[in-house]
Amino acid sequence: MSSEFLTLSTSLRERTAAQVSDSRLRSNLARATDAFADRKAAAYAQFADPEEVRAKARAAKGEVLRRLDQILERLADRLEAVGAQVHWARTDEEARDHVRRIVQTHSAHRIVKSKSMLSEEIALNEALEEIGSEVTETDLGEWIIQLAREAPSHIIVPAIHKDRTQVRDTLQRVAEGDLSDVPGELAAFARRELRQRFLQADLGISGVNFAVAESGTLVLVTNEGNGRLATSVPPVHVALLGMERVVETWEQLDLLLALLPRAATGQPITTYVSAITGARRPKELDGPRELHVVVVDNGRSSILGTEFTEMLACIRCGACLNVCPVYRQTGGHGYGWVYPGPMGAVLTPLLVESKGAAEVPNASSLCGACWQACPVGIPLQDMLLALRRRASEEARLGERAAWGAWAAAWSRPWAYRASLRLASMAARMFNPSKVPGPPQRWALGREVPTPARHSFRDQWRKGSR
Amino acid sequence: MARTTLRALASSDAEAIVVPAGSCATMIRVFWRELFELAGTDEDRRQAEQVAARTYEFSEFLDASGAPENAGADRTPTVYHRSCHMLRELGIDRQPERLLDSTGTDRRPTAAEGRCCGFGGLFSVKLPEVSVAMADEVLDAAKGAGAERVVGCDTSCLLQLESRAQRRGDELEFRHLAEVLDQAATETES
Repeated sequence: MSSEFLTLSTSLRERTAAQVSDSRLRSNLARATDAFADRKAAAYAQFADPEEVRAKARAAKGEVLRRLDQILERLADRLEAVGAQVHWARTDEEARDHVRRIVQTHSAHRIVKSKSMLSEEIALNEALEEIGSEVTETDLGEWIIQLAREAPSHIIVPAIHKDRTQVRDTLQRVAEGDLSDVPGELAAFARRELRQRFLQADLGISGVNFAVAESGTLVLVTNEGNGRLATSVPPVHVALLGMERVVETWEQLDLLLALLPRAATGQPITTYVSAITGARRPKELDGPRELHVVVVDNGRSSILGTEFTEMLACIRCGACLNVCPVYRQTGGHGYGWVYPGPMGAVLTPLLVESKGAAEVPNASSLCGACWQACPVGIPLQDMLLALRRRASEEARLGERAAWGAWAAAWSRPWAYRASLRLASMAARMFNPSKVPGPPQRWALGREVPTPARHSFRDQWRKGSR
Repeated sequence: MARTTLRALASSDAEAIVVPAGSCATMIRVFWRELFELAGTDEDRRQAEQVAARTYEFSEFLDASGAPENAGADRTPTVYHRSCHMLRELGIDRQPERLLDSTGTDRRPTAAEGRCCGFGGLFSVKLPEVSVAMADEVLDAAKGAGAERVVGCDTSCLLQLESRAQRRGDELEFRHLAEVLDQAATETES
C-alpha cells in the first residue's frame, strides 16, 4: 500500500477529478459492478421475503450493538476458554504493537495474510516491514494491489479497477517467463507462487468477518481458500477483529451469513466459509499452535451511542459501493482513505479527525441507492447529510454569512422575486462561465441556462401560458 | 426560509398541495420533519405534519385522481428519467411512466434505469467533474436506447441533463412530464 493512494491532504475534488479522467478505470468499474448487480438480484430472489430477512438482520445487529460491551466480554471469555489469547487495542498504534510483539516473540520473518480491511486501516503491513518481516497478501486481488504498490479500491474486490491486461502487467513483475492475460493462467501462476509462501510462512494474519460470542468462534468468508491456508498452515494465527464485527449467537450469524455473500457478490454462499474455534488441540494433526485475537476499537466506541451508531452494523459487504453512481465514476482511490464508497464516506470522518476527512461526505449526490442496497438497512444518505451538517457548523465564516443572507432574502416574498429578476438580468449582462465559484464550476462541461425573462409567477398573473 | 413556505402553505385550506418537482415534494414530506425537529418549534412541527399529509408530487396526484384521456398520437422515442428522491424517498415509481404511456409515446427502457443524473444540488458544483461524468452515463444510456426525448418530473435533474447535453451537442429534447401531458391534451382537444 502506498501513501500516494491514501491521502486526505489533497482536496476531494482533485482526487475525484483525477479518477474520473481515467476512462479505462470507469469502464472497468462499470463492467464489474453491473455483473454484481445482476447476480445479486438472482441471489436475493432465493429468499421467500428478502425484506423480512433484511429487517431481521438489522434488528439482530441493533440488539448486538445495544449490549456490545457484554457480548465482547462473553466473546473474550469463550475465546480464552478455547485456548485463544485475546488482546485489546484502543488505537491503531496499540493494535500494531500487539501484532508486532507477537511477531517478534516468534521471530516470524515470513508472514502470509488473508485479506483484512482492518489491517489496511491500522497500516499493519508497513509496521511489520519496518521490523524486517516479509508480508505476502494471499487474496489474489490484494496480492495484485500489493505488487502494484497501491491501496485496495474496493473493500471486497481490491483490484476491481484493473482489467486483465493490467493484472497481467502487474503479475509480470514477479514472473520469470512471459505471462498471458488469460484469467485461468494468471490464477494458476498466482496459485503456484502463493502455495510456496503458505508452506514457508512462520505466521498467518487474517481478518474476521464475524465472531460468535457464545462459542468463541471466528468466521471467515472467502472464495479462494487462501483464508483457510493462512489460518491453518503457519504455526501461529493472528486474527484482527473490529470490535463491532461480533454477534452473540449462531442464529444471528445464520441471518448475516445468508446476507453477506448475496449482497456482496451475488453468491448464495462463498466457496469457503471457515469457522475457527480455538487453536490446535492435543492429538490434532494440524492447525496453528497459537491463536491470537486482537480486538480493535480505533474510534469505533466513540460512534456508539451517537446518531451514527447504526454505522457499526455494517457487515462490509460492499453493496453500497457497487450501486453508488459516484463510486462508479471515481473508484475507491478518489475517497482518499481505506474505506471508499458510501460506507467509507460515512466512516472516514467518524474514524479520522481531519479537515480532509470531514470533506469526504461530499462525495455523494444523496441519491439513496446505497441505503436501498444495504443488507442491514443503514440509512447511509441520512448519515452523509448529517455529517455535512456537522462539517458546515465548522465552515468558514464567509460561507456561512452568504448562506444566512440567502436564507434571509428568500424568506421574504418581495426579496425572492427581486432576486430572480436580478439573476435574470445578471445572466444577460455577464457571461456566467466567467463568474468564479459555482457558476464557473457549473460551466465546466455544462451550458449555463438563461433564466426566463418572465417568471412563471409573472406569466401566471397575466393569465398567459 | 422553509418556515416562510410552511406558514404560507399552512394558512391555505386547500385539500391538496401539488408540487411539480419530486425533490421539492420530498423536502416537504420527508426532510421538513427532520429540519423542524432540529431547528423548529412545536408549532412548526405540527404545521409541517399537517402540510406534509396533503402534499403530493404532480404525477402521484394525477395518477391517483385519474389521468385525462389522450388521443395517443405522440410516437416520439422517449426515455423517462426516474429521479432519486421521488423514487427512493417517496416511493413513486410507476406513476409517471403510466401517465407518459397514456400519451401513446414510444417509451423505452434504459441501461441506466434509476441511476442518479449527477445533479445533487451543491454536489454539481462541489465535484463538477464527477457530476458531469454521471450525467454522461445517463445521457449515453438514453441515446443507446434510441431516445429523442428525455422526460422527467424533476426540473433539477432535467436542468443538469439538458445543460450537459447542450455542451455535448446531443440532439435530445428535455421535457417535464406536465409539458408532455399538456401537449397531448391540447392535441386531443383540437
